Amino acid sequence: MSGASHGDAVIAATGLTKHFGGVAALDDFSITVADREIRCIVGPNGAGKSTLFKVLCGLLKADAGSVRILGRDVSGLNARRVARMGVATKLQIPRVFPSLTVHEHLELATRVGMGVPQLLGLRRRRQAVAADAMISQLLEDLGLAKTRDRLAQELSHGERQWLEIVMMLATGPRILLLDEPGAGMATEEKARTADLLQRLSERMAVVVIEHDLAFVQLIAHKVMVMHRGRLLTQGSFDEISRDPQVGLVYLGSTST
Amino acid sequence: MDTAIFQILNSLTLISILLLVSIGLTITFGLLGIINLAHGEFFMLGAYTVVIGGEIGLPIFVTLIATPFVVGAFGALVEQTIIKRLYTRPLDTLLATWGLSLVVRQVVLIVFGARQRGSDALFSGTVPILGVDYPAYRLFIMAMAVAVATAFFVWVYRSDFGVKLRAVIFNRDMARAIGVNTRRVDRTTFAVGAAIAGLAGAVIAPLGTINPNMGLSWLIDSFLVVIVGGQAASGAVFGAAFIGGSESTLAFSMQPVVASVLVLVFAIVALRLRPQGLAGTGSRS
Amino acid sequence: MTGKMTPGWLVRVRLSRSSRLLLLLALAACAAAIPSVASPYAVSLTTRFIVFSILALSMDLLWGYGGVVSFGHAMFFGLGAYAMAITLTHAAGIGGTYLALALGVGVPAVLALALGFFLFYSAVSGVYFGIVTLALAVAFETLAVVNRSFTGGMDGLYGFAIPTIGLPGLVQVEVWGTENPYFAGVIGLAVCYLLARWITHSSFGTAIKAIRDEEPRLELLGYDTALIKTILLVITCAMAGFAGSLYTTVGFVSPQLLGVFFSTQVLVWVGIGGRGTLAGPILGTILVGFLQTILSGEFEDIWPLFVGMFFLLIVLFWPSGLYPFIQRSLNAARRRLGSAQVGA
Repeated sequence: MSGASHGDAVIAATGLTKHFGGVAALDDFSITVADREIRCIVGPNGAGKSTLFKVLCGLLKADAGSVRILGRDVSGLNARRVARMGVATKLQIPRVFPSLTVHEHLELATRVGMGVPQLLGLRRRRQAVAADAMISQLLEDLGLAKTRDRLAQELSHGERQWLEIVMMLATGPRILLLDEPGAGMATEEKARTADLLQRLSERMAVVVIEHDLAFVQLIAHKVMVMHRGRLLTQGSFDEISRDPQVGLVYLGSTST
Repeated sequence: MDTAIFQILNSLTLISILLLVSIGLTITFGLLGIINLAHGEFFMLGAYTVVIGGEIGLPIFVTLIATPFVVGAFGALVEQTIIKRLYTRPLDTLLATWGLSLVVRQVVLIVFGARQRGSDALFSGTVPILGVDYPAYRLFIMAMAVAVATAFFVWVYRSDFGVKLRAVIFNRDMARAIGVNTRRVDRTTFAVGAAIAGLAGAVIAPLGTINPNMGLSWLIDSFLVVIVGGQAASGAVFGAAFIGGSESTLAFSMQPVVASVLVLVFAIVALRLRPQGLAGTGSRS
Repeated sequence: MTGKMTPGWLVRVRLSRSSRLLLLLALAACAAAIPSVASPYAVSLTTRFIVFSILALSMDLLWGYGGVVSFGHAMFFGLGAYAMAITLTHAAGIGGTYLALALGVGVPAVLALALGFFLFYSAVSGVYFGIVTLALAVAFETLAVVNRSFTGGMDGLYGFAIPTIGLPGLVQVEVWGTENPYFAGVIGLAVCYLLARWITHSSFGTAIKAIRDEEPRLELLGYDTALIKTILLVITCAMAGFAGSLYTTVGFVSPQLLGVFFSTQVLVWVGIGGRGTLAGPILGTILVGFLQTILSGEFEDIWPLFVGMFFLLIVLFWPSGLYPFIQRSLNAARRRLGSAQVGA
């Protein structure tokens, strides 16, 4: 029962509603996440999970409701500003930069917030040097040292997902939003990811959308089940797996 | 007062032509995301089809009816050979269709020469309307634009094909999953858009001079129509009204090229103020 | 993986340090020797290609590295040329030349800043940026033709003061004739190449490559991609304007320099030479330039058709261009030589 939800809410969203055409992807949805908590969000396809993430990270604007992150109202901010507040987001489709090396990915991650003259190497070189030292450390710690100079396009699917997560970590976030971090990963890679997330939750809040329920069971402190844009139920993994409503919802929609 | 009415009618004529040229592009580019910088060449080829028709002695109304089919077939060919290969490389589609546009223009130049051509109108004479005598042919153009646009919207919103088209627009993967042949949707929509643009070219042929480069300015204008109009099927109407309206109003009192630049500036500013376009909803993704 | 994840045209090939040094020395030797061995006509022609290479280099930075497609990049070249020539019509000598150069670089840069501010910040997709640059190029070319009193119209601009650089009172060099423009061009190309290398090897360069690959991902990381693209645009258009200014010493300032066909040619040079390689576009410019000079006598009418076809075929079937192919062949040759020596 580690990482219990003491600590202020780092994410506090209330009454989120978002319509696409006539369909409500989010319907009066609220979520509160505490610091150093691992929250997992599950639900059948089309439940609104990815839409929720896009609203939280600033890519989409909700039709109604508000989002407070780290105490600040972010309803009007775009994704870049939210990211600069310390929110690192990985969306459903894994995205890295195919023509850049692993090292270059981390180079970019450690230089977020630097001005263009600094990026060109014209000013405050010491910061850049310190950032590079951090890169080497990260590469070592997270097992990427050997692939340092390989292009992202040469990596396997699982390696790319791992790279994306490491790149996000290199920005020094306070909140991690991961949409299906385990998708397409081999079992061993998933185990490594679960282990990493548990270690990370000692320092930051982690919100994960996942379909792999074994993975969820491994890491979740608290699980929310979404259905048709609303919260169906929430609780610990044991609680929700015993809840008959949850089984119905999964069986009812014959996806997966 | 008369001049004002004349100007308004001229504006409407321009808007009608713009609507015809752009309506296909609104769907293929605005909604399906298919990039084609050779779109202006469909328009140009339509005009030259009329020229050919005249040279082989076909009656004009026969040529007018045949042109959409001829240009539409060419459009399908373009989609099949070039565009299809580049769906995963959108910026390269931009470049490839630009190269195609250059090739088509040069071929027409070599075959027909740089000499300006003309053609006879379907009918001539004026009609009294709103107190002025206005060329009947131009009124015909306006009527045709309304008719074609209406037919097009009926096709998109009422036909079986239209259902498939709208499914692909909404979510391509899902449409494919429920059995829609997305390739055929792309190709057919593209060909229809080309055909209508070709018809516009054929219809405008008697109004001015025909030369191989006439498609370029219409290409620019039709893209501006799509972006200002917004990502909705009705965007073509709003966009054509905005672009056509400003262009004809400005051209009345200044050099045409200055008018064009101003319209471009208006379009850019309008876009900055309302990124989703006039008819668009929500935020531009 | 889907095509989106793997821009297949990107080939990462490296020359070793020693072969690079060798190449550099060979190039420098050739460059120095040319005026002594070639005819004045050939030297002027080469100077023109060198100036065009600077334009191609700037296009590579913008398109090859940054992924920004512009159908009117040449208009910045033309603007630079016209700014330089028009200023020299009204101001002469060293002071006049420096002013002319400043405007030749500054006017395109200011236009680029405005374009970037309006287009990149309204998150317009790349296609619309291409369309707007297309529209502007058409407009500028027409404006130059129509406003004869200002630009000389179709006849072009000539009879302006000779560009003169140096330090007033101490040394004075007229950049005119055969040799001086040539060396000015070579030095200009070298400086611009070094500048381009510095940019692409910096973190700024990494960022623009990331924008080319997956701009939304970089934005989600926290980068202001609109700002980065705007600055890239300003730098590359200033470089294009600089090339245009140099061009006034060897070429004829006419409206075609602003137009769409010339912009297309630049795209072809970069596409054939190899985008995203810096050296490739220089190679492509010189190669295509020579081809054009040889063929244009007989095929002047259908040359644009060839250009269009080349371009289409390259984009469809050979996106990586010439330079990576040469690099790979050199590497393979060296490896074979190396193994022959070891006796393997």
